Amino acid sequence: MFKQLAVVCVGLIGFSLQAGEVQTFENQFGKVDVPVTPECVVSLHDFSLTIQLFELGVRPCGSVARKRLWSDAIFRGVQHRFNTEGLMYVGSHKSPDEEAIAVLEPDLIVGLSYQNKFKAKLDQIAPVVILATKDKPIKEWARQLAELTGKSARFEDQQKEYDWIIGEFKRLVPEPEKITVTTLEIYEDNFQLIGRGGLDEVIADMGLSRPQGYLEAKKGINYSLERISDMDADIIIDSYEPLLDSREDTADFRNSAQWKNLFAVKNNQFLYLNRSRYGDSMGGLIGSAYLLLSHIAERDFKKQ
Amino acid sequence: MKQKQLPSRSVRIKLFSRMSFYARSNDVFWLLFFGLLLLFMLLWGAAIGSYQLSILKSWQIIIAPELAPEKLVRVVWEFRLPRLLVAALCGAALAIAGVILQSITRNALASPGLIGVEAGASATMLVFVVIVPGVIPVFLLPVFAMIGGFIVASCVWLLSSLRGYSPIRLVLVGVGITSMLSAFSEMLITYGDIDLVESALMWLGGSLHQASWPQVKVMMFWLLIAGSLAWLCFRQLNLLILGNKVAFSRGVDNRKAVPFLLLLCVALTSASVATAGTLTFVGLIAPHIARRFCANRHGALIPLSAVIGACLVVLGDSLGRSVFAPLQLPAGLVLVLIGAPYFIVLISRLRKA
Repeated sequence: MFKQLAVVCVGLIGFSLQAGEVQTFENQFGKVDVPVTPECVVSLHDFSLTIQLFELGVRPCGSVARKRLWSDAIFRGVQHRFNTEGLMYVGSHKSPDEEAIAVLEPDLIVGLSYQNKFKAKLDQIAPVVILATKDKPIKEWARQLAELTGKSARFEDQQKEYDWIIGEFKRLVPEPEKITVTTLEIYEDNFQLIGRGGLDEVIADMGLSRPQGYLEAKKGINYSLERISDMDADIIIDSYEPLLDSREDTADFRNSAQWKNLFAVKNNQFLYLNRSRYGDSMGGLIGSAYLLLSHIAERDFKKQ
Repeated sequence: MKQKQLPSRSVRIKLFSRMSFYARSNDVFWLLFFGLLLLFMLLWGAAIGSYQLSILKSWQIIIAPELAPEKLVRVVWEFRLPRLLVAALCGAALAIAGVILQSITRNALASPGLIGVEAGASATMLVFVVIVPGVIPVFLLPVFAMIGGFIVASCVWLLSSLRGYSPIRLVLVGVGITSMLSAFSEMLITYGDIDLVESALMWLGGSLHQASWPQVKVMMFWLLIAGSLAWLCFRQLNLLILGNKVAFSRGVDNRKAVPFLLLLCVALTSASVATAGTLTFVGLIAPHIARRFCANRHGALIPLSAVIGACLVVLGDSLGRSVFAPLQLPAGLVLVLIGAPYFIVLISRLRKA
């Protein structure tokens, strides 16, 4: 009995050491001492960090979300895949509510690069780690997030699956650089070059090309719909947001002759996806990779 | 020696051993009333939010923080108090600027935004955030916004005084330049990188979300210096509002007084805009509310407008962060919702007059 008691005591001491252990995380935003296994993580971006945390098996205790004044908060890209019961809404990603975060008593707060300005205030609540999601590929910051939360094994599984899909694609498509893909978002009177759910990263990893007009254009700029033909490619991928009725709002343009004359549209090589289906996470990379594998490598299609 | 006749029901206020002045008891009453109202609103603001406290509890935390739990002290002292104080100080600054501008232009619809300071600060901020991001450190952005506001206000003054100062010319030039800069800002917002633009839009909406203790100190400095100087010019303002000739006959030369007063107005507005973004309507509404209690007696009008302006912005910010908590509405937006109906009433009364 004495031996059993001793084992229990050693186990408890080990657990308390584990629970109290701290690691130092360092990136271009500085060094931060964070708990090895955080128990309450607050995410400052639902569409990337919150999704990735859930995919790693870490249930954050709080997250920013999208909200209209008299409606419930929507954790974009999360609610249709994971049970969000107990996940507290802490404001918008542009102005998270420090008080709502303080109520949760988190032991780790994670944010994106443009949220670095909140670090000074939020540091008073818990260690704040800023991940360079804009400068680094999803694989890299997701790995950092996994290391932060002690879930590297789960991340390695995701990485393995993703690498398999890329390898499979390259096996089935020996010359991917001869296939052009455009990722964009069409609005009522303009469009932008955006690839959701890690599509741009997947396209680069698969070795696919971009049309010349796409390469010369810039991301984040509103372009006139008159320039849509410059973005014509073997495959065009657009996305709609169900929350904003964007599919209905842009129906007129998709019925226009200018749109229907595009090579990709004429040859049924236009993909129209739900923008919130895949977030900017490893799950998004995997989903987008399977998408392109099916639509390019596992069917016959025409090239320009 | 003929004894100076004092208004009836005056009180003597002694500042120092040899310095005292007389004030109407009515004015003193309303100043105290609105001062207490401001104090109450600050306590109320410190109590409401995502973390609900009672007013008594918030008072205890402010007075004796060492006796309160650390978590509550942090919420009140680090998150709420800086924000409330910045709101009060910016509201006071904009209200005083509004009084000055309405008096020197003799135009009831004049507001601090008229002289282009807000538009200049906004455009400068957008240039450094959208066009050339990363060129200057984030903590220096308000300083550059302030410099931009000063430059634009200087241009407005120079253009409007080329052929001698005229209030109507100041207003027209200000409106023209403000419109031009607003169009420029709109262009940057429409065609700039959306991530960068969204970051600037929260500031432009008049958000006190990033308020901190250093900003409280900066605003306090500007308000004390420029606000005190403005109050000391109450006699000049009393005369300027009667017209240039009357003022000149009483020893107030508008060629010297107006540029100085305009400088104070620009300083107060620039500091406020650089700290909290654009807070439209405060500078327009607060003086008008104050005039209902003290007419155009600038000795009382300036401090009373300051206190009322402080109350308005504290109210706007407190409502903005608590009504839909944790979703935060910018104080400037809430102020517009409160101020627009009053503005409509004001215009209808001016038409009747």
